[in-house]
Amino acid sequence: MSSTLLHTALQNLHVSQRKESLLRPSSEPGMRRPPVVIVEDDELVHVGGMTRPGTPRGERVEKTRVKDPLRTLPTHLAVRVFLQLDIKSLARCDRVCKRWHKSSTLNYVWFLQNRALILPTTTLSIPTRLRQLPSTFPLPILSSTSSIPSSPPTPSSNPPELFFDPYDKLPRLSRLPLPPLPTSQTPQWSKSESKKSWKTQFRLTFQRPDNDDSLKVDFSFSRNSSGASSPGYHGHGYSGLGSGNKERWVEGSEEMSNTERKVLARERYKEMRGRKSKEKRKMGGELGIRDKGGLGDVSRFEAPW
Amino acid sequence: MSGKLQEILIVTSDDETFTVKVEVIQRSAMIKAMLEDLGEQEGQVIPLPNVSSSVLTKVLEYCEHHKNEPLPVADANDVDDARRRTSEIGDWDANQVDQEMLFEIILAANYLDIKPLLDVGCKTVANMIKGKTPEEIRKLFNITNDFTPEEEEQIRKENEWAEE
Repeated sequence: MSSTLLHTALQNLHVSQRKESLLRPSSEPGMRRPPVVIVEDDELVHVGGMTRPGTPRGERVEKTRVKDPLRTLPTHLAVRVFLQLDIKSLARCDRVCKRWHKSSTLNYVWFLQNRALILPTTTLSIPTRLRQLPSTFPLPILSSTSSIPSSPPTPSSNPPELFFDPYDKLPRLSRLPLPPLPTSQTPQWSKSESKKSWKTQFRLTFQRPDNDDSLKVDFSFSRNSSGASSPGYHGHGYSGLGSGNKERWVEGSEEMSNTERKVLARERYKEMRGRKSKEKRKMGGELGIRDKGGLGDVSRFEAPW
Repeated sequence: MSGKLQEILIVTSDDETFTVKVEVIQRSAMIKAMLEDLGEQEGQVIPLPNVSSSVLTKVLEYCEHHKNEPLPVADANDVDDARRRTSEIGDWDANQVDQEMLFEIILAANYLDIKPLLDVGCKTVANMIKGKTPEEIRKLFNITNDFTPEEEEQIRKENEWAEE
């Protein structure tokens, strides 16, 4: 999935680049988009790079009859197995042994579970969904601090739902639908994503505490943010590939009149004060220069772009 | 496959030769594609160095039992998914094999590309895990608990939210 996102992002970039080159006369070299640097952390990586994945089969049979599915089965098959589990069982797997606890295969399953929460599959027709909404919409104002309900007061008339309703204040773990199987056998997640605890993230997404900060965490996966694993990192405002160019992306994709474009371009030139935009990007803009001043500058990490 | 080719020979990892009806073995997308590539010759021999005779026997039993069902559409992920979600393990499929054999069959089904068998296999393993306590899971798979009591207690607390 993240690869699809990346792919779309790159496609968008491509399109907007083309548009830009169409819109802007080539006599404006300063306006050219700086080359996109793909951060190492965004690389797609495998699951279970550290653990022994596929032991040659002969060896496997002879060795003390290992029955542990995480060791016997290759990653993509283990994912297939553990994706069938309900959340309760999956969480119990976490407590089995150290190998399972730190298993990146299980982390990947949590990753897929989390993604299924955020991007629910639309297996139900929309009318059904609308029909169900009123009954599952209990007084959102009263339950401001949401948590897992200790006693589930769900009316029995409710049919079991096949989707995660983000407005449902009393979601049940046991009612969650199975996430879809990944389309690729090779896991699709970035290096930074693979390092994150997706069990924790799943809980955060599921419980949805009503403050904006956690919402940021919720969706960080889709932007390849590496920040979510360490809380202090959030202040950066850096949210991965392309964010630095966000305004430009938007502008590039909009239809603008000639005058509007000119005004914008003039403003940008002003900002740059004669320097080339490439340098600007590289050093993080204006602050790059000030940065050389050194340690005393507290504000230097506050989102220069 | 046209009616011409009726049977092929399969040689397993332990050098046993099986005579198999094409109608049966074409559940395996891998062998089906192989036969299409090789052309239809009577008495085609296909070596399967990854599959032992005991596992192949079980796989063939499965194929034989399901031979009248429609072949799964290749690369139809949606269909695949719908089946995975809805289908329960059939009466016949349940309790056919012991646990070690089960893993072998999953691996073989993956290798031979028999999606329904793979689904059933994975689902069976998942059902074995479902609803069990960590201790029961350890017992099931012969895993030793290498947590200290403190660690175990800490992780248990961490995961309390999931115990609805």
